[in-house]
Amino acid sequence: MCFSIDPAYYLDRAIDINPDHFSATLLRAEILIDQGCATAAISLINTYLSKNGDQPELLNFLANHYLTEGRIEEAESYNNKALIKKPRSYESLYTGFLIKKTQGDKFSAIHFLERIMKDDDHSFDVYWQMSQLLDEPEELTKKVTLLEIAFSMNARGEIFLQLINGYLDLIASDHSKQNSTTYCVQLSEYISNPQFKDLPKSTQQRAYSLTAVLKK
Amino acid sequence: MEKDIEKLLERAIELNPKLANAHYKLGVLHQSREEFDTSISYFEKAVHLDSSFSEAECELAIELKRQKKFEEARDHFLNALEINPNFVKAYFNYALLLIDLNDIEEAKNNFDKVAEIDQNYAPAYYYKARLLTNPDDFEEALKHYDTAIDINEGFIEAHYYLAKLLLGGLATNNDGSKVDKKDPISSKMHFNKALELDPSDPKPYYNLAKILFEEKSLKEAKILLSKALELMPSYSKAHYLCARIYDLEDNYEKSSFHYNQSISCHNNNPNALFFLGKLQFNRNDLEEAEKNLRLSIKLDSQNANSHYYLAKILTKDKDSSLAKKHFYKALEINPEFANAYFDLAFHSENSGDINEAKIHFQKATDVEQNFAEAYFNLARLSSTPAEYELAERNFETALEIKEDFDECHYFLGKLLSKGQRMNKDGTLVIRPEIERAVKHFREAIRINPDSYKSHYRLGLLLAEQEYFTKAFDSLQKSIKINPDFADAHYQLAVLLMNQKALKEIMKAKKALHLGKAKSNKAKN
Repeated sequence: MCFSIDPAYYLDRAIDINPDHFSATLLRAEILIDQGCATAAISLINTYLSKNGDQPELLNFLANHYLTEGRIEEAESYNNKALIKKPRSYESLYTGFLIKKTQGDKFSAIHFLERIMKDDDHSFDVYWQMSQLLDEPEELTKKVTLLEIAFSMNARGEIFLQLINGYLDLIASDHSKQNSTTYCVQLSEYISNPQFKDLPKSTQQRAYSLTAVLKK
Repeated sequence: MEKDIEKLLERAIELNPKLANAHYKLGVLHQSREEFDTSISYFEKAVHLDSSFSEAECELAIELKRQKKFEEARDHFLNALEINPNFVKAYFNYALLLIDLNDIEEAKNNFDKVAEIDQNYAPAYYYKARLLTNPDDFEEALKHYDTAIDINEGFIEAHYYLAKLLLGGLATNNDGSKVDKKDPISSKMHFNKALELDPSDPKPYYNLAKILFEEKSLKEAKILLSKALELMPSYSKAHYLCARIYDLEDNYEKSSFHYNQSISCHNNNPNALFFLGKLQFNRNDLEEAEKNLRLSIKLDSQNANSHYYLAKILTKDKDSSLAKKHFYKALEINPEFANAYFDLAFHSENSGDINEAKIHFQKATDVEQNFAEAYFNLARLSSTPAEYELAERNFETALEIKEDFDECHYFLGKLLSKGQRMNKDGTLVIRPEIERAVKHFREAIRINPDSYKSHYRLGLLLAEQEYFTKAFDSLQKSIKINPDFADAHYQLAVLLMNQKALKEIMKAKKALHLGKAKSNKAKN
């Protein structure tokens, strides 16, 4: 017996049998996008939407597609429709964040991430992305806190480096030395982390010298 | 000759009008000619002329009884017995009168009196036996019929009713508890004897057919019923029994014909109406079925089965309360009616009342402890994580009762693979029991290899366990059985999008292909 091993074959069959098969439609559209057949993917999604009404997941799919293509207005329009249908959808809120980030609207981007956090405080991505948005000196404490949480969820070297640099910047900017001891204790703990040895030498030296000065 | 006697008797009366005996004899003569009114006037004259003429009193009473002048008849019987206290004929006919007057106990006493005076008076034993209808009197009735037959072996009615007594077999023990003394062999013997004595009587044929029906000898029963119907085409009971046989043989046309014949021969026939309605229900002729079941209920409102089938028809009505009313009535009449609880549960489920459905499925299992389908459906509806253990237990009970219950294996597999249950503190725990789930899906497939849903679910679990080739094969089987099963097509796509799975599947298929090629080469 001859079997096909092409997922698209099975998805097309599933959609032929049941044109309202949501998951098959979404997956087929994703494959079409990957294959560079965006027009076919959008047509498939629109056919589904015209029959079954607005589905937030598919609207979000279109929003992401337009966002990738740089068609921000269309992306925003579809994402807004998705959010009206499902205001707490992680995917749509995250796409909202990405759109705002692309538009350079930091305030709104953070607002979307905060909306996700209200319902889901276990998403590494949210803490990580929010920490990346905070680039003002007065946002440094918040940024370090977010990096702490992100690192506890995902001990990636990149996060660790940003976290150590964050503490070093905090100590350096703490002219009154009010909080330096606390930061120093925290930093000392991270110095004993095996990942510390993988950090750039300059960062390691900066950390050693700052903690040594504060200990004295 | 008879005319001469009549003339001579009339001449005698002309010569002596006070000759009571001549009046009596003329009365008897007219009685034998069935000129009953004339005979009464002669008997009246005879008793008027001779106040101690017991025979005339007795015959007059018999004729008055025939004219349903019961009270007058009673007086003349009593006169006859006062004149002659050992007058058997008077006692016997007086006893028959007492039956008409519904004074059964006194009638029995008078039959006893007859037997006391004349121990060989078979009809007295027979009629006494007919009056002994209470289960407590079973043995006595049996004895009396036997005596009547001992005295007169050709006593057709005694054979017939003795056979009926033995067919019913309703008796009691010394302690008053009911006991079944049914004796179909002896019963058959007496029905056959009755037929031997009078082959033109359709009733023994019918009753013999009834015994054979109960013995499941349907072919023989049909032969006897056709004889009964040949002798009496309007025999309602024979048509009914004939219909029941054809019903069991799934001969719709003939069973329907005989049920209708039975009803047209005897209108007040709730059983035939019920079975005809049930037959039409099974044939999906719901309109006619409803009509006949309603008629059956009108004639016998206490037939739980009629209410049950009517309720089943009414489940299709928009107003769900109509069916409920009849399900509840069936259960009021028969609180042990497990199927009524079962179907009421389905009706409640279809009406959206899941909790009520669960209560009724539960009730069905309480009434019928081996009702596997009820346990299964109760488990099926116990779908919340809090009910996990209850559902698991009920699925397992259903499988203990009915091992080869493929759907139950499938649903238990589904429950175990989801594993959503509630902790004692109320928190949700997801603890799938994959191995057990796989076992149940495999069992469902073993019992029903065409269970495409079981192949599908098994495929999902195997994919989860990273048995990718087996998962692929299982999902393929699912779509081979049901090519229109969209979910299986979708899951095949999901599986093939997993690069690790795709690699393994391709490798396995290649190896299989090579193996086959080698084997074909070796054959050639």
